[in-house]
Amino acid sequence: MDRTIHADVVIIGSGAGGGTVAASLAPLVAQGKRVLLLEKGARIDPKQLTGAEVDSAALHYAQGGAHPTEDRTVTLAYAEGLGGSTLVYTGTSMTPPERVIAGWNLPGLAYSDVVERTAKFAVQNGAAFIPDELINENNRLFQKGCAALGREARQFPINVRGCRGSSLCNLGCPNNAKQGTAQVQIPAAQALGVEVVTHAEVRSLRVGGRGGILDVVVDDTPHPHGILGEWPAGRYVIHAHSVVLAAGAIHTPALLMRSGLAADLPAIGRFWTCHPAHILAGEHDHAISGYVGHPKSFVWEERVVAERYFLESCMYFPFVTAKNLTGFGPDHERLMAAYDRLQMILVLACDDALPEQRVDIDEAGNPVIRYKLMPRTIEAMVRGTRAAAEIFFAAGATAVHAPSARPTLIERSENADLNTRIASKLFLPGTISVSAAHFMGGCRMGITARDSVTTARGQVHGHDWLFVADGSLFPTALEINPYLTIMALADHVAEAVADREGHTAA
Amino acid sequence: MVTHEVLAPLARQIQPILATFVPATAPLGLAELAPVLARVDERLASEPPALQRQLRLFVRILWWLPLFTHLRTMGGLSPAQRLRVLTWLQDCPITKLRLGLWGLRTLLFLGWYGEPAVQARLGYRPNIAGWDAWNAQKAAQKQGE
Repeated sequence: MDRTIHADVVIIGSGAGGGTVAASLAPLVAQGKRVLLLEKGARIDPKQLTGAEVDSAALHYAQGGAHPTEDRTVTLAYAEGLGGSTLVYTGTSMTPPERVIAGWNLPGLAYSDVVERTAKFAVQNGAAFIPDELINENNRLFQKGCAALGREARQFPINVRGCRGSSLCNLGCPNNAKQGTAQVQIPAAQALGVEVVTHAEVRSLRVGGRGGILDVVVDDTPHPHGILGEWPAGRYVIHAHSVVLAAGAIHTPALLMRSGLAADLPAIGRFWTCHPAHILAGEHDHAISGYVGHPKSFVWEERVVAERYFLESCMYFPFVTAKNLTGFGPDHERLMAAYDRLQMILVLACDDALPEQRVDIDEAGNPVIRYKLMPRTIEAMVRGTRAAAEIFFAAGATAVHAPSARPTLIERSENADLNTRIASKLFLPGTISVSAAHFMGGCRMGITARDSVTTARGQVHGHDWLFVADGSLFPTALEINPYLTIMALADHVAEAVADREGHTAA
Repeated sequence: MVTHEVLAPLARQIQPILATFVPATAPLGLAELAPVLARVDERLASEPPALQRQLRLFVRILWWLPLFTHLRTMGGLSPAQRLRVLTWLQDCPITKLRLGLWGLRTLLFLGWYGEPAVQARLGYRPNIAGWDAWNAQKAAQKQGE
């Protein structure tokens, strides 16, 4: 028999959005309100994290980090567990560009307000520049290559405390140094009385009672790196006065669709973007050993407006590297054998928010990502690949692997014309590995229910009890790593929830 | 632990394909291939049965495909011939075939390059202690010189 629970506020999802809302609304508990934070995944014990690539990816990422789009040309990486994808991000803490927020043109969402909130969370999360002496060779080469070309590489502030430089950020920090929501906001919320329930999957929601009614399944399957859930396994019906969806830009729209809201809100799932990316490698004649030190220190974004891409220094593990190097056979194997001498750069494209790029659901209610790599996006990735190749060579690389070149390996001695060697016609979806981890849109903020899902305060049009507080709010791609902006928007939404509850948020 | 075999029963057909993708695996016998395929099957265990069937069918198609061009199965081709056949598929105009090959290649890379001993041979030696371990190793090397 289903158990019935009553709460004032239920937050669904515990990543950058949900964790922030939980902390912002925690003072409501002292005012007599019951606040629940539901997380589908487990609470991960950092002491169990090993950094073993395949095992860690299988345990912490949905579908091992390779949730495919419907046409299988892009794989999507996101975590499942308390803290959401803040478990596996690199902690790059960026203020959003004014042109993007201003371009959203949302009354009630001022750029200055977003900046103020991002600054608050940057401080709260301990975001700071990695000291120069702890920047590793892989990152230095990116900076060196940019400098040689007269390009300004900007250093990322990183939200770590006590980072030892294990380089394992993307597999979950084994030193618990990264300041994700599971380290900062959720413990703070729990200390003030917010109840955290892991292993709890919300299957659907509907209007009812004083607000909404949620159908929830709690699973008690133990997680090898996790701690057992708080509630006994079974089905629950939760009545809530306010519900905040923060399950991420894939699962939040999917949940709304499963719940039948798309009939009145046709924009649900649509205008979805993801900064499609691929990894490039440059071979050097000396060891780089990118496996020690923080993996991501610099970004070069001077061409983001004109050419729709930005580049980041990065380091990936052997299997992910093998997957991302186009092709196979002796050339691929030779490059893999040079793994310790590879410099890596991530090319990220700014994709257009289009109604046909969307999250949908299958018959079982599971999300299906109907996303296609559009010609403009491919052009941007190819331009970014050329720019990255220039940086590799300027940094001293002897050869560069460019997925959209044939042959893919460009030797320095070729003195190649990169504009001819790297070309859009050689970018074959299905041959080139493209992945994404910045999911945005699907419940975009806006003015009307015709072309948006929520107001600028995250309140779902026509449902005053229902809010969204995650990356799905973004009307367009952010053009920079999004987690801090998600936190800022979630904090902004939390104020609207507190208003509805008749109280003041933190 | 693998609870469900997807590709393991096709080890004989996969052997020449893997040897083309990763030439270093060419000397591996079926027994040595088993842990590679076990890692792949573990990843595939949670995939829908339809996808698992498609993948098995795709491996069988690859095995028989060279009959049309070389009058031999994939196993009967020389390494150079196999490389040509698979490279043609990689760049062929039919997206579904390209995707199938990409998927199989990626899974076999997971099986091979996901193995910690293989990763160590590539020079990938991460340590939870990060810079401390790195500096200690450098100091020990210096002392040994």
